[in-house]
Amino acid sequence: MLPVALESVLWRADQMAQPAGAVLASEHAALDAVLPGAGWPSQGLTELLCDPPLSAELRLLAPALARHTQAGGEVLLLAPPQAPSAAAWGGWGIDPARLVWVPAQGALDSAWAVGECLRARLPLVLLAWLPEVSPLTLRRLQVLAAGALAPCFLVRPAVAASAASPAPLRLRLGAETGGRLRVQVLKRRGALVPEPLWLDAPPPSLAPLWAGCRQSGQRQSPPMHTPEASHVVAGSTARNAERA
Amino acid sequence: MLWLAALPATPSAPDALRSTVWWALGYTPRVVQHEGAVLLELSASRRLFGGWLALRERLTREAAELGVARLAWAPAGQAALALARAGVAQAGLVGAQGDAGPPALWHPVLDRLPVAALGPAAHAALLPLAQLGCHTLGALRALPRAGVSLRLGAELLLALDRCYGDVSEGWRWATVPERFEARRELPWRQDNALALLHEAEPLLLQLRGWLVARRAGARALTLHWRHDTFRARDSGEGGAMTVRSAEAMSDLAHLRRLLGQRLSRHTLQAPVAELRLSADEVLPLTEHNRSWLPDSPADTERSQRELLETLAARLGPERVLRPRLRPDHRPEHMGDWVSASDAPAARPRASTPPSWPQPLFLLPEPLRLVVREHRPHYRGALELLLGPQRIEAGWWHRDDSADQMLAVFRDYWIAQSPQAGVLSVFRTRLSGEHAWYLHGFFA
Repeated sequence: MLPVALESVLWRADQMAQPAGAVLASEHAALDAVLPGAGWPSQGLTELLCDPPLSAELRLLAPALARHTQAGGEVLLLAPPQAPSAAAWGGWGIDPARLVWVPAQGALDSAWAVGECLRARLPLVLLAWLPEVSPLTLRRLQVLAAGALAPCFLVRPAVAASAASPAPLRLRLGAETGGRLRVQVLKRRGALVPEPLWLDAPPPSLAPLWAGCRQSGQRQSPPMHTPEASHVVAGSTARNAERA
Repeated sequence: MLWLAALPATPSAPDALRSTVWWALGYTPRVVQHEGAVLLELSASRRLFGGWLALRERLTREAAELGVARLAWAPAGQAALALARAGVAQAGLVGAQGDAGPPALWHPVLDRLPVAALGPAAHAALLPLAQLGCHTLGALRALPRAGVSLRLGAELLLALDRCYGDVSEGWRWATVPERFEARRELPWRQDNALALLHEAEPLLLQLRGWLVARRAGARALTLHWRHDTFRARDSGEGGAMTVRSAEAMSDLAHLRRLLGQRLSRHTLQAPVAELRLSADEVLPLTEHNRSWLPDSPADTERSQRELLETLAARLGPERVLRPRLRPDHRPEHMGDWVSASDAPAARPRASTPPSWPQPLFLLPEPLRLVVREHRPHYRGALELLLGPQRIEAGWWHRDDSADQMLAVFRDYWIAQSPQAGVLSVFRTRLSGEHAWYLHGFFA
């Protein structure tokens, strides 16, 4: 038997690790079931491989971020490829008052900013888009993240999947039609997950309207003459009939 | 009583004593400037600074940075000064806890000091005493008091009594002026901007003491530098750099870090010969209660603000932003981002969510989409999910600088791209042709 202190930091490769710090529940039951500690780890980097960026990552993270900001935590968006819209986040349940946007430029400044945020040891969820980052920098950030208090997500292009990374948790994301996400766990502290997960994760502000869209399940060409301005659920039977 | 005497290396330099006094005021209000030395009474400060050993170690380190040549500790101010003048190590005079031992313990050390250690009070008496064969304080103290007072003056006896702690010393405590400004001539020419931070360390130590003495905090400070006289003609007289923080603080670690970030990105035009530090915004300090619990909400908020200020120091304040919401129907005018340091104290609350789902990320300029077979394409043919939402607004809005109307007449749709996720697209109206544009990403 190992001493307790050692037992807590030791991970046996055939078992699911128990993260040392707190976890932030991802709010997707199927995903929580395969994440060590049943949530996003607050220590260590989490890589989200996603092509193109902004196609899936926020739909995956929105429920966790919403819960985090409602509990008074802050979210820092570092170097997103597009400018975030100030107005939309409230509709996703994410308190805009708890949001900071840092449009850093260049890999060097971005990596420095990630390091500063991790070093500050704050309950601040960091979401950083790092399209190019050297393995050495990743290793340094991982060392800093080992002492962090809140999850740190790095969004990287999908080609990075073939390269090794020190991040203990790596997921590949893909957006599918019908508001679903394909999530493949590339690496975790636990046994391999051979099959990708399919999560039902439409944009939260669209969720109430989404059900109707999915049920109709039919594609629809755009109308050449816009009818009366109204909130019309696409694929409505009326227009299908008109087209037929 | 616990006294420290600090003898500046060059007491005749105009700023040497003043700078030592200001630095010392950071540790105790009981500071005396006396006969070319600075005396500090520290018995009440030991606990605040983590015990006597920690305090002694800290003072010794900072005194060396400040250019103090000699330090000596003793139970009386005059005794500490005498020890410092004689250059005697202080070991025996102060106990392990920084307390004065019984006089029998430290008086013998004083007995062995030369009479000259009493300073100016003893100058006139040095020759007569030497002729008497009286060289040490011990020998002087053994002489009959009445005779010494009559022949050599009462002043000498007073200094002697103060030294041995026989009379109370009756000091005039030092005060600080209204404004802080300190300068320092560099010992050598410095052409590396980051190294200026190190050279400014003595100035920062003085500022900290000055702030503590005035019970104030600095919100901004400016480091000015003057270029060397032998410089290229086009390099100018010098330069300055101002750093500011949202909260006034007397502990300058954060402002020093900001200054370091800024200096590390700066290139000097010419070697620097002299530094000057000024505190620009000095406010009365509001002290916070200390908590023995880690990570209290106030601490978290403060370190979060410091983190954002650190980021802004390197990336620029226009790159650390917080949202500001505005009531408007046009997505690009529903809100904007303002520098986190300018954001009002009451930060925006989530207003009522817009009636139409808004994309999380907006393109700065809408991107015109290719239309094939009457369908817009962006990384594949778009599937329109929801719409249209007609926006007609902004007819009153004109951008004078670009001479352009900001009115929009658009039908917004929510579309799904096979590869790029859920998008916000719109179709223009009233512009002759019906063109499709991509405006945002739902991510």
